[in-house]
Amino acid sequence: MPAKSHAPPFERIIEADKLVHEPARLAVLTALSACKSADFVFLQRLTALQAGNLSQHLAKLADARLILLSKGFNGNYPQTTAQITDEGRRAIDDHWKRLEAVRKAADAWRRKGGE
Amino acid sequence: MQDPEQIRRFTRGAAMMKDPPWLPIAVWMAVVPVLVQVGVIAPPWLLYLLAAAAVATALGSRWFKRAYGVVTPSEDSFPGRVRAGGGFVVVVVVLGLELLAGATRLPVRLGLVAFGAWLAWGARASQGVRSHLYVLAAICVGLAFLPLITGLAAHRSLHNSLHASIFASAFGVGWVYVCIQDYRVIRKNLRNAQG
Repeated sequence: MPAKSHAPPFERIIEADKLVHEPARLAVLTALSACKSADFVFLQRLTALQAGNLSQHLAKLADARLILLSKGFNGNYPQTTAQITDEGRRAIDDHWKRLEAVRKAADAWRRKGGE
Repeated sequence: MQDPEQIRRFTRGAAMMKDPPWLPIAVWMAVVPVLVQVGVIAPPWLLYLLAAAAVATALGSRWFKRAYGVVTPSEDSFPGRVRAGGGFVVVVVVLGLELLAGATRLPVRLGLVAFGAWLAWGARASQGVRSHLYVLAAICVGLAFLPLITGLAAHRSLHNSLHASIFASAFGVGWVYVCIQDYRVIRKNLRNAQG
């Protein structure tokens, strides 16, 4: 779609995937893209979210098949582990590339005088 | 923490930062052999205190996992390769070089040089998250040349109780430093829930 590639930077922001763009989910997906898997406690500490809030975000990502959730035990304690899927990896990579493109486009737009 | 590169680096590093629970063993290593050497405590206490440190480490490890969670590294990362058998290769190489240095009566402990190089590689691979590993790497390389300074051959150095105490103490001090710095990095990046 050539028309979209020439859109001004603020229009490209609207094209961003809202599921991935939400800050907590963005942090979770970015962290999961850098490892094989991470457990709930790590992700909760990383995002500083309440347990219920993080559960909701993880459920949304799992519903969209961007991550896989598995439940097990660490000793006597229940442990939820999250793993990014290939689809999730593509989504987060595309999203960061898109944000980088927006930043570059915004810089170029500013240099042109905002026309 | 919303910088993506910072999140990626820290997550990769977190998979490797498992040293803090080992602090009791590291302290034991830094202090106890020297105390035995100078006669402050009797030799049997070496084992009693090691057992106490091992129990504290086991309990600390369980608490650490529950408090800060668990990250499994991806196979293509440095910690992933260590988990996938790279660590075993390092142990074999280090021990092999120690034996070689002993057999050839070299005044340098080659195994410690290799171990120091491996630690430095780990520090570099962490992309700044675990740069404190360079300190332990430098201590290892420095200790490797201790026999050269004292005039003892490496194989004799291994059986010299004063040398053994110096090795254990210096390595222990470096390890304590790594445990504390790992914990500082983890505390800085992993916070309690807000709001």
